[in-house]
Amino acid sequence: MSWWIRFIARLYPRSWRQRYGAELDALIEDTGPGWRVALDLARGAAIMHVTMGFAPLRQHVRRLGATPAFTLTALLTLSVAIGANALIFSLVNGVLLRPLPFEEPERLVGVWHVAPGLAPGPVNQAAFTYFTYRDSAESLEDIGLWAQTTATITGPGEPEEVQALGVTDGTLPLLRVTAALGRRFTADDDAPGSRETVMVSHNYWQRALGGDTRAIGQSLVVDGRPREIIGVLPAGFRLLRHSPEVLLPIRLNRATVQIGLFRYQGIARLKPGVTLERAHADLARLIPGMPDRFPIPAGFSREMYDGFKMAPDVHPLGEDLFGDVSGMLWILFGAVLMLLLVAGANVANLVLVRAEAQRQALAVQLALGAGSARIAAQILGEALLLSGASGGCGLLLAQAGLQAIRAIGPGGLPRLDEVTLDLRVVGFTAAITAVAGVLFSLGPIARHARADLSDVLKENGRGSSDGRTRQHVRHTLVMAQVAIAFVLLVGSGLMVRTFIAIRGVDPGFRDAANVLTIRISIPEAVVAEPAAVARVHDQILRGLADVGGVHAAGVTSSVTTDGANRRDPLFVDAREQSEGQMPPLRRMKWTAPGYFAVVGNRLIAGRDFVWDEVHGPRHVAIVSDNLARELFGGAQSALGQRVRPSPNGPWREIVGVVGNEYDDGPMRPAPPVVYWPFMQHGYAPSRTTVERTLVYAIRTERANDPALLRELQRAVWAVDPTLPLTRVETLQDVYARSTAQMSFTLTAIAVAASMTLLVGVVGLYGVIAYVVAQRRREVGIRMALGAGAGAVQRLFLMRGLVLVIAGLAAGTALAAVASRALGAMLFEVSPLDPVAYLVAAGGLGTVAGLAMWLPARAATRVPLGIVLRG
Amino acid sequence: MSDPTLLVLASLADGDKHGYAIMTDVREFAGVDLGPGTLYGAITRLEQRGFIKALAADDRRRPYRLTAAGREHLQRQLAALEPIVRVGARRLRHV
Repeated sequence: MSWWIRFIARLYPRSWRQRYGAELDALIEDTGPGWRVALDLARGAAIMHVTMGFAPLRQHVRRLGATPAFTLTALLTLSVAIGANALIFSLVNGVLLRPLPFEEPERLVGVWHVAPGLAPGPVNQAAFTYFTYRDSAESLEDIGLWAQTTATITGPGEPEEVQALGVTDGTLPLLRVTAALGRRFTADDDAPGSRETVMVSHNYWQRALGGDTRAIGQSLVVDGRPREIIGVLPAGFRLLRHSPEVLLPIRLNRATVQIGLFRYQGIARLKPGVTLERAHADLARLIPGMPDRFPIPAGFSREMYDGFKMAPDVHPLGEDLFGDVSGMLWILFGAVLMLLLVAGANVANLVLVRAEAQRQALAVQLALGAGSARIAAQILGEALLLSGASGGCGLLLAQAGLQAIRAIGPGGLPRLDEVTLDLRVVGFTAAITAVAGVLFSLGPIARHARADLSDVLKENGRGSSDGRTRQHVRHTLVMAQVAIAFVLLVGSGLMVRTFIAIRGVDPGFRDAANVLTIRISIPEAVVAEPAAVARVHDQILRGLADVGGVHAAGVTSSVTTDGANRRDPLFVDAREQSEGQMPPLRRMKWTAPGYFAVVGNRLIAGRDFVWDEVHGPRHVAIVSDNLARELFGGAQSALGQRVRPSPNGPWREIVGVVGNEYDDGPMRPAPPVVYWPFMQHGYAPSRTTVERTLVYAIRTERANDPALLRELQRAVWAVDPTLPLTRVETLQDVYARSTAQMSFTLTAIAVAASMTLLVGVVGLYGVIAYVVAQRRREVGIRMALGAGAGAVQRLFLMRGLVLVIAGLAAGTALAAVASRALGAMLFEVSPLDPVAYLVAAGGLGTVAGLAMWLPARAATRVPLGIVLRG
Repeated sequence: MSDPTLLVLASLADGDKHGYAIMTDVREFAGVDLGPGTLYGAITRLEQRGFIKALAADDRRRPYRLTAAGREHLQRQLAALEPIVRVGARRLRHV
């Protein structure tokens, strides 16, 4: 037989060759070699490997099937834990780890500032910083500005308000976004006075323009002005969280730019090889010279500018997208990892207990010459099969969970539609599954793969030093489960306490479910004169108030927690600013009579505005309670004081003080707010300005009645039929959005904690039940000798109690460390809140006590005769 | 009709044979060349299912014998084929 035929024949599985090898060789000698024979042998060897490979698998399945209670418990526990991990990892992966959908995203940065002398927190870009950086920054390939806005598009159909983004001409090129059709903006489109242009989204092009390529060059009426459509964005274009329908050029006039007006977001692409530190240093060196490039407005000074203490804040663009979501996701990931640890400890315990039961059978196999490797392979195979099946079920659970999360859309999670169970998630799941499988099998392998038959047959399961070692392992696992379950329960308790504290906050409105909010925008091209705009808003408000079921209606530039944050410096007459000092920026809102009453904000002192103060040149203001206290020592003493938003405009008298609005969400301090009438005379130097976009707040019990919206629409269109009603939602919806992330975290941690508790308790029950089963004879004899059932139950309870107390002690130490990670999400609750710790300990202790008492009670109820015979 | 297990069973129906004898027999009565890999794949499956049993080896060549279960299985398979053969042949005659 030629060597290569012999070689192919050797490819058959070893065990098969032991039985048929000699016959096959003899047959090949009879038939003679040849390529047909070689091919046939190779095919036969491959088939035999597949066929025989499944044989051990069938054996594993059979053995696992023989202990259905163990298999089902382990499968369920692990599936839930692995599924939870796969789900949360898919969120971490899709939201945080997956690169932004732009070319070389690692070079894209968000460009912000800090200016502690101007305002706390981040300060964004202004025209003067943009031009300076674009001209002189050496570390940036380019910088662009963008601003989220809305635009009203009017045409043959109903007027429509759409999401819009203003961008400068460099923004799309630095993102490497090209037009799917037509062209991008150029410097010409950005130049004031040039022809007005617009880019539309792929979606808008399909939806409103019929996907017609001849749309390029056509005109679109945006905010009452015709603009030429120059390009269509690629499908799915999104900038951070924004998916605009139209893009408009920002068109800054360099000739009129002054220092001030931080109102744009900045985005830049670093030159290749430039680090964040270098970019930071590069921009920082340009800041002191900016007043030499651009004029300082009248009333401000160079000293004031220096007093801003402005510094750049350059960070990876992803951070602008994730915000504080990343902290929340990592906390959730930590929580489900803990669940996996507890589930793993539980299954490891079950596997150990089961292996004990099979100990004699395994030792007999060893004695019959099975070999340690084969026993080890058998144990490992079963563990891997179990964890593998759990991994598969876990992925299915994760997919179902992901669909549920997508349907709910919780916590303002960005990129949720991009989250999938992709290869990385499957790989992660496979990895934790494999690690779990290997870890479960290590203990039993170490114990049984080298067991000596005589030892096993001699040993009666307990009392030997080896038996005590096994007990120690199991007890340690139970203690770890109790400890980890306690950590999650404490976390859950802290979040519940936070939730209760938040519900106690008066957010600055009441009965928000009955306040409907609608945005209406009056473009300059529709109504030009500010006074006329004010009259239109006034008429609309009266029309809305007349609709059936509407109790009252009011307007504001921003309802509580809607995310708007317009800030200007507030100069105070009573406190003349020292020379060269800039007063801090304050949040400003624009409103009209009746708004505070509509939303239910309390008037603490003074009075509301009157309509004459909106329409006529009367200079008045209302301030929030906390601002009145800060500046004037109290609400009453604020009345009659004078403030203004610029150093040289008219002073405005404070006529009222209202309750605080928790504008940044109930967990953050209420910002001090100044309210102005929505038309202002002399707010900007010697000009009358008006708020064209206002939120109408309507108090009605019909807030959820679809018919109401049609009636409101008719009322608005009776005043002007070109005005669209947008962002129709109740104040409750707006507020719920601001607490959505906290609610999601609370729910997710509570679910993880409950599952961990359940799994941990099952583990505890299993261990006690096992110990009880082992000692049934002893129990029987004790009871026969007169021990009461209570005494025997106490014996087992004490044993379990020691484990629980040790677990709680370890858990308290762990929780004290782990709960610090929750710190930022807690509100008026300390990470070491004793109530949360005591309730968690009490709850866990009670459930654990029950889990121990049930098997202990069962042991004392079995008739003695049965015990002794058994 | 080239199911190797059926061919092996049919070959053993008239007496015990070792591998090479089965191969030449099948070639003669069915005109099918069974390769050694295919033949021993079939033998392995048939032995596992108890349709044939191995006899004492003569040198390295081991003869196989049809068991009662194997005979029954062969009969069932052939009975299932019979109507197909009959109908097929009749229809071909009418074409």
